[in-house]
Amino acid sequence: MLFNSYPFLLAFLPGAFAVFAIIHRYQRLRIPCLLALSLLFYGYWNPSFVLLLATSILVNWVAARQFAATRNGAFITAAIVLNLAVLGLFKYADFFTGSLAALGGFSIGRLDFVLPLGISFFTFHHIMYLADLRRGRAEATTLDRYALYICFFPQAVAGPLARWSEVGRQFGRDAFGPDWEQRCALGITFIMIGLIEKVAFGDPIGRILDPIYQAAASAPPRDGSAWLALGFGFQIFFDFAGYSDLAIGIGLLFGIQLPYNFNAPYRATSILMFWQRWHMTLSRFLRDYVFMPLADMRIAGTRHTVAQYVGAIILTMALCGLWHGAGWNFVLWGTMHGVAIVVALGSRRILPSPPRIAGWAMTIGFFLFSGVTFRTANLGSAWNIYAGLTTLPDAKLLGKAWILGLGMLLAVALPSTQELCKRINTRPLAWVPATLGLIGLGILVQLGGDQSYDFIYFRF
Amino acid sequence: MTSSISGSDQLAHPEDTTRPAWRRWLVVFFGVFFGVGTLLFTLLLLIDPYDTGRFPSFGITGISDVSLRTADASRGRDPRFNAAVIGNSTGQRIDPYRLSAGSGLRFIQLAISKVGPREELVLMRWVLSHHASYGALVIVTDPVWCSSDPDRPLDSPFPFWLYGDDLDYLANVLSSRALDRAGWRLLIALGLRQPVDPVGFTDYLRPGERPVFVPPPPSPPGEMGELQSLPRFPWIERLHALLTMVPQSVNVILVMPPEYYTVLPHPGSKQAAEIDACKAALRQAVADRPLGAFLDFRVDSEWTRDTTDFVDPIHYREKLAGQMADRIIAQLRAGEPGADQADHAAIVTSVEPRLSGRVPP
Repeated sequence: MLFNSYPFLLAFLPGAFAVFAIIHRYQRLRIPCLLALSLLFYGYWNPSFVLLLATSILVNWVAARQFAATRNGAFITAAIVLNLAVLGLFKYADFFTGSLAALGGFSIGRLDFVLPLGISFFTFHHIMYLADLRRGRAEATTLDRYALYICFFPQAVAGPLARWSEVGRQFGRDAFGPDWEQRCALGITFIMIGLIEKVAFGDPIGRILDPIYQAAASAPPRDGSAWLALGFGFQIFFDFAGYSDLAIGIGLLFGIQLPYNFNAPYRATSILMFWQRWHMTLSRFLRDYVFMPLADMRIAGTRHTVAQYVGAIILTMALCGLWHGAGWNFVLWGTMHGVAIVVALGSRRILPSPPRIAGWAMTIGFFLFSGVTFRTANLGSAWNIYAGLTTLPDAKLLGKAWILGLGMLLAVALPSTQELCKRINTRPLAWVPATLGLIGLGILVQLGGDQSYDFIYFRF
Repeated sequence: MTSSISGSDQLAHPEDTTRPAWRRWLVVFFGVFFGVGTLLFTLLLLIDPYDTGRFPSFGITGISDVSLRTADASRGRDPRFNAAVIGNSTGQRIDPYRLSAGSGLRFIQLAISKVGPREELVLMRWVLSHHASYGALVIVTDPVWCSSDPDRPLDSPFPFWLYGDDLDYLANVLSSRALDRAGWRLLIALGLRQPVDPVGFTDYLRPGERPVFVPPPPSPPGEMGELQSLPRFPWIERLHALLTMVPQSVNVILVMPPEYYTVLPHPGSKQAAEIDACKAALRQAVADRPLGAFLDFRVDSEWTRDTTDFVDPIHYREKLAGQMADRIIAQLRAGEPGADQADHAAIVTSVEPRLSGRVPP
């Protein structure tokens, strides 16, 4: 059930809200109610994966309880290893065995497991909780509260990656306290902006780009459309920022404030700033749970060397790429970003800062350029797109892609969704809900005529 | 600019004085959303954008829809016609005007490019459920009908909801496409736009628009021999099941369209045996009907050897389409009261497969 679909918007969401509004009066039932709704939502895709999700919740919760009782870190380590092993089995086993087979010149059978929806996200939630528990930043909790932390339906499938300390205590609180009307208004605003991002920009841009990438699988585009293919960076922004805003808005309806995921990344003037504004909860995860341990690790009796620091950055970003998908194109994409971060850090020390406009152009140009390797199924297709850049698009082609141009303009000119929501909801103005109501209706009309596109991040 | 990713700064602590205003905010949002939405939806049903005749409406006559996938919902229920051609692009060239003139029936062309058995069965049901009596159905059963895959994927999206039950229709009708068509229907009602031809015949192969057909080389012989077991044809089984519910008075003619001879399977090959088995199943599907026949044009004959009669290996030009129409007319007339049954048999036989012969049919 996609957030941008009739079944969700017209049936599940209002139904879930109504059930929750009735049941929330019974304090003990608030968490079980949200948990049941979340499992229902998750099971709608593939009921058999609910079992995997439930098992993973139970195993991690038991490990956390054992650690809390004994303070033995082995429970945490074992649970994290197990989580990574399950993720590796489902997501990376064929990739690694296939790569080894290609390297060794032998053939090997494929497992071809169906990737359980959201496995990357719930695995990271488990790891965050366990690591925070060991560091004393999270506390042992009840099974139902922990289960809800992992599978709360707005965030279960594609984040945002919330820390326990951010949301754990919010579960079970009174969602209909004195601020609920204002909170719901804010939630609706987030939902509407998220739908606009996804339905009015993400999907239409995707419809322009998909045929270009499809054609690039066999030959370089010779009509200038390769330049449009660079717009994938905007497609994925509208797609994933739209999803994140929907998740945040839906969370607010149920009394839960999820962390923000984007902060106007296309206004960043350096690659460092970009990664502080793009998929912020993943960046934070990578910084705290991957980069910091790598940078702090004692290697050959020493630590904190420049080489270790540089290596940790590049390895972290390469893993970031691999997390997005089991393919060498993703690894290359992550490595490119790691190198770019190292270069940016190094040049900051030895060179004067470039003019802001130059920094902005280099940052966004690099992101769009590298995005091609992220989007293509293989490196050959990516090369075809790059080779196609030798031809400039004509006015007719650009005219057909006007929605991409408008999207680029808005992504650069507008502030983040949270800032936008704050500005238009400083006080209750009647034109805001009236406009949003009409926009919501327009989106429903658009959804009826279009085939709904999956959110890109559901694949990860 | 903020580096915080926490959401806690979004909500100001509300004062009691603003609560009613925020409550009004929610009321306005839902009022506009549901109020305007209900109005729009009701208007849409009254205009009946696809002319499906499901609910009471303004009674606007005619559509301005050029997409056959949606336009056939209106055409298929048009009471002015009592016979239809159903198929895909391999049936679109069959001229309904010629069929009507020759048979005395009132033919409509419902063939849609890039559809398969699933869509054609749905169309058949739609047509028959909207007519108390019907004269004839000409169903162009190209080799796709011989598929053994009961879940054969669609070649192109199809609006099944438009031809489904009312609930399915209501769940899908609100769309920008429906709003477009509703607007066109209003313009028709006001006399500001002309409705499209209800017969639905579009000559998509105007002379000179397509390059000269360069025939492919003969296909390799493939595996020779007999079939180990009789293949199943789930789509023909479904067709047969549907036809058992069609009144016996309806003349049902199944047509296997011609293809250029070089793409036909080699005689004696397993592929040829499979196609022969498929043709036998199609013949069997209408065998128990008093008015029904299977006409096979997909044979190696003079008809399928002239490159000027084809646009590509499976799409034929006007001359061949005319000859096919004449055969269909002859078959339809053979079923008329008083027609000579011997002639009837001769016609059917004349288009039986001639895998080895070169005799013109």
